[in-house]
This record gives sequence, structure tokens and C-alpha cells, in this order.
Amino acid sequence: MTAALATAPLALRGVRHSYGDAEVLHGVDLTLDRGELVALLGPSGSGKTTLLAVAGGLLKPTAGEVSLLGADMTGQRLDRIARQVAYILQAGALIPYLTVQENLIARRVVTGHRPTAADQRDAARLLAAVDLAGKAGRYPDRLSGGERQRACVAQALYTGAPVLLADEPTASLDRARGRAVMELLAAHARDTGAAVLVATHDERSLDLAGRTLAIEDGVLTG
Amino acid sequence: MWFLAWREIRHGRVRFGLTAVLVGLVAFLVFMLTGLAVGLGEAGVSGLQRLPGQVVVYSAGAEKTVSRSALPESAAAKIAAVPGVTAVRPLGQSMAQAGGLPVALMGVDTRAGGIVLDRTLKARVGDTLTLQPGGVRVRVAGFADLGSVQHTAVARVPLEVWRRTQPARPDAGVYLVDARDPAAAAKAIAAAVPGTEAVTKDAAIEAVPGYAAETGTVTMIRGFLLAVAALLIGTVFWIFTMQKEATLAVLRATGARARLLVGSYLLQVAATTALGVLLGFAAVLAIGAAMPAGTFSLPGRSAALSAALLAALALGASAGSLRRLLTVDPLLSLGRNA
Repeated sequence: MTAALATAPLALRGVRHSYGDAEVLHGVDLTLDRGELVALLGPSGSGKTTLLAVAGGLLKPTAGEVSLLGADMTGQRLDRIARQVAYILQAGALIPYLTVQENLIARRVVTGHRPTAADQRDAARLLAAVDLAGKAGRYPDRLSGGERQRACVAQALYTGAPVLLADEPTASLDRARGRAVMELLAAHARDTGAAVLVATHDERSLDLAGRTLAIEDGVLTG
Repeated sequence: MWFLAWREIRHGRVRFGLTAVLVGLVAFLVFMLTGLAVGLGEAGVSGLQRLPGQVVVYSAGAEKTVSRSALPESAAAKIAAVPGVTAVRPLGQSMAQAGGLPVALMGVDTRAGGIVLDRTLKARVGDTLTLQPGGVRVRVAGFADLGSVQHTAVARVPLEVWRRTQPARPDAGVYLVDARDPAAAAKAIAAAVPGTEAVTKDAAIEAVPGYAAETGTVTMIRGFLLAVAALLIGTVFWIFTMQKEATLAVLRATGARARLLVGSYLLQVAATTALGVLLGFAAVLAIGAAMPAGTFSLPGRSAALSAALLAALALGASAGSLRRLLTVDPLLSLGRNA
């Protein structure tokens, strides 16, 4: 492994993954640099979500290597990986018994962090950034699909993780809000140095990505 | 872990509240049966428990029944000579009427003249009562917490008065013995004094007719109830865990540690059980106070023991869901199964 790869926030080398006999990732190589937003384009069933799951440690590759901040991810516990990798989960993935603001704070609490006043301020700031300031005290079932999606984006940004993985973060949003979310992710990458990988089939905001990759039938091109 | 546990309870207060009420109903029954077991037990043997001595010496063949035992006065000196024995007191006991009141009449070695009645008996100091059988007239000398035997309040009279109610059995009775090591003393007495059978007071109480059957039945029902409680709480929390698999997957995907998930879960079980037990206890205190004297008694120690047993069973039964809690696939949070 080269020095550049060793220090890259996230690097995949020759990654393969199979569900039973069906291989869905065929030797994927991918490196995310600091402060970079990479768009991953591909149709449904092309392997985007599986690639994200492998990159985030939710799935073990059947072959190949995933390294996170220079360390091999193999054998690392998920709770340790999750401190470095934040997922922007799909719209339904909020905790139903927490308010929107508590959902953000929970992202730090679950890793053993004790909530402070600064956490409340950070959460309020990020909710304002996704236009949810007035909905901070609402439960997820009182939000629209788009609002839940934006809450998930704010949640992932709130973790301050150096790697952000987003699976269709604009899927439930109209054009303007979708672009606003992509702008927020690009600004986050630029301002914090986080590496952001966005899986999408929405080509309207690709101008915000530093690089665009395509995946089809588990093969990465670009 | 309280962060998640408390917020889930707050949001699902109806669900957790109903579970607590369910636990409360079972706890109520457990406390009620505990109170009845203790109450019945006290009504059966408290009169013996309140007698001095740690060993009871019967005549051989009396089958640990005071009313069947007959020992000569000469036995007292032989028992007193047994190593480890520090005091020997005679006791006679029979069922009798005192002024028409049914009593468990005990003849004891006392300087007090007249009859001393248990406080539950209705009479006045200075009243003269006639003892039947025997027709002996005695004056009421006072009242004390003498307890009861076989659900009949105890009355104590001097031994010589009691003997006059048993003219056909001049040697009737047992000896109550103080000893440093009751179990060893009981064995030593039986070996050293021919024609005797000696047991510890606890064994003597267990042998009171009806006592073991009564308390055994209630204890068995209580055991079943505790098993039902464990099954109920375990099932309810197992269903709760299954219902929130999607949320658990999100928590796992976002880095929730196993300790946090387990801790939050057990806190919820403990809080729900504690609330249920408190509700059950409050209800049983209210109803127990209205029950007739001598049938229900729930001392703090018995209540605490039952509550602790329920809590331990609840936690133990709900542990069945821990495996499921810790093996939820975090991939579910991405909207797909592994």
C-alpha cells in the first residue's frame, strides 16, 4: 500500500462481495481523499448499496481489502468503525421514540458520549442548515418523507465523522431541496476535510461532486 | 443508556404503562398469597413460636404432637443434666373453652395467677372465666400477644391449673428446653433420656397438624404465580424486542455498543417491573388492611423478599431477548436483508 493510500480516509482494493453464489461486486478499487465529494452513479441493482455497506463495515468483503484512515477494517468492531464512518441512512431510519433533535444527539450518545449543551447547539445549527429548525421537537412520524430525509443528512453531518456515506440522500426531495442537500454535503467536505461518497441516480447535482464514478453490474468505472 | 431507555418509555408510555399494570396484577397476587401464607402460618403456630426454648421434648410415640405427649416430672431433671441444656420448662397444651371462648389453653411454669389471654380475645381484666373441660374457674390476669395455635387464640394458665383441666392425664405435656446448640441438644436428649423424642422448635412447628399442608399449598400456588410472572414479563419484552428490530438495526449501524443496547433494555425491564411491583404492593396494602385479623400478614421482610424474587425473575426471563437484541442485522437499516 502506498503512503497516499495508507492515509486516505477510505480505500477499497480489489473488493468483491457475493450473496450466496451471486457476486455483486467484482474487484472494486476506490480511494476517497480528504475534503472530496465523490458521486457514485448507477441504476438500481448495480451494487451501489452493497458497495456502501462494505465501505462502512456493515458487510464483510468476500475478497479484497478495505482500509479506514490507513487501518485495515477487517476484524474491527462495528461500533469502532461507526465513529469514523457516518451513514446517511434512508428516510425511514430515524429512531421513532426520539425527537428530531434527539435523533441527532443520539448519534453521539450511542458511541458512549455524554450529551452536553454544545451538542444541543450543534444539533440546532445543523437542523437550521437543513431547514428543520422549527421541527426539532417533533417525532419522526410527524415529518414528511423529505423532512425525514433531511433530518438523516443532518444526523450524519452531526457525527463529525471523517468519512460520510450517503445512499440516495436526495431520493425523497424535490429538485431545490435535493440540490440544497448536495450543496450542504459539498460544503461539509470542503470545510471539514471529510471524504463523502454519495450513491445516487440523480444526475442534476453532479456538478457539485469533485469526481463522478459509475457502477454497473458490480463493476466500477469512471 | 438512560438517554435511550427513558425516552423510549416516555414515547411508549401507554405500552409500558399497561405492561406495568400487568406486572402489578401478578405482583398483587404474589403479595396477597405471601400475606396469606404468612397469616395462615402465624394463625397456625405463632402461639408456639412465642414460647421460650429452642428444643421440644415429647414422650416417645407422641408423633411430635403436644396434646399426645405425656412425660413424668422426673424427666425434667434428666433433661437438665444433658450437656448443652441451659433451662427446662414444662408445657401442657389442649383445646378448651374459657368463658365460652375457644382457646388453645397452655399450661406454663409461671408465677402469674389467673389466666392471661391473647389480645384478640374479648374479656376484661378481673373477669372470672370457667375453663371447660374441668370446670375450673380462673380470673383474667391480663392480656398479651400470645398468638394462636391451629387458628385458635392462645390463653396461658399456670401448669397446675391446666392439669386440673386434664384430670385423666396427670403427666400430659412436653418440655421446652433452652440449649446452646439446639440440633445437637435434641439428639443428646433423645439419646440420654429413655422414652423421649426431642426435636428443634422449628421441626416441632412444622409438625403441627395442618400447618405444613396449609403453607405448602399456598407456597405451591405462589410458585406457580411467580413462574407465570416470569413467563409473562419475558414474553412481553420478547415481543417488544421483535417489534423494534428496525430501530435496533439503525442503532447498531450507527455504532451503538452492545453494552448500551443491553443496558437500555434491562433498565426498561427493571423500571417497568419496579413500577408494577409498587402498584401491586400498594393495592395489597389497601386490601390487606381490610381483611379479618389472623388471616393476612405481610411483614416487611416477606414483602421485600417477594419483590426481589419478582424483580430477579423478570430480569432473568427478559434475558431471553438479549440474544435477539444483539444479533439484529445492521443491514436492515439500509433497507435490505443480508
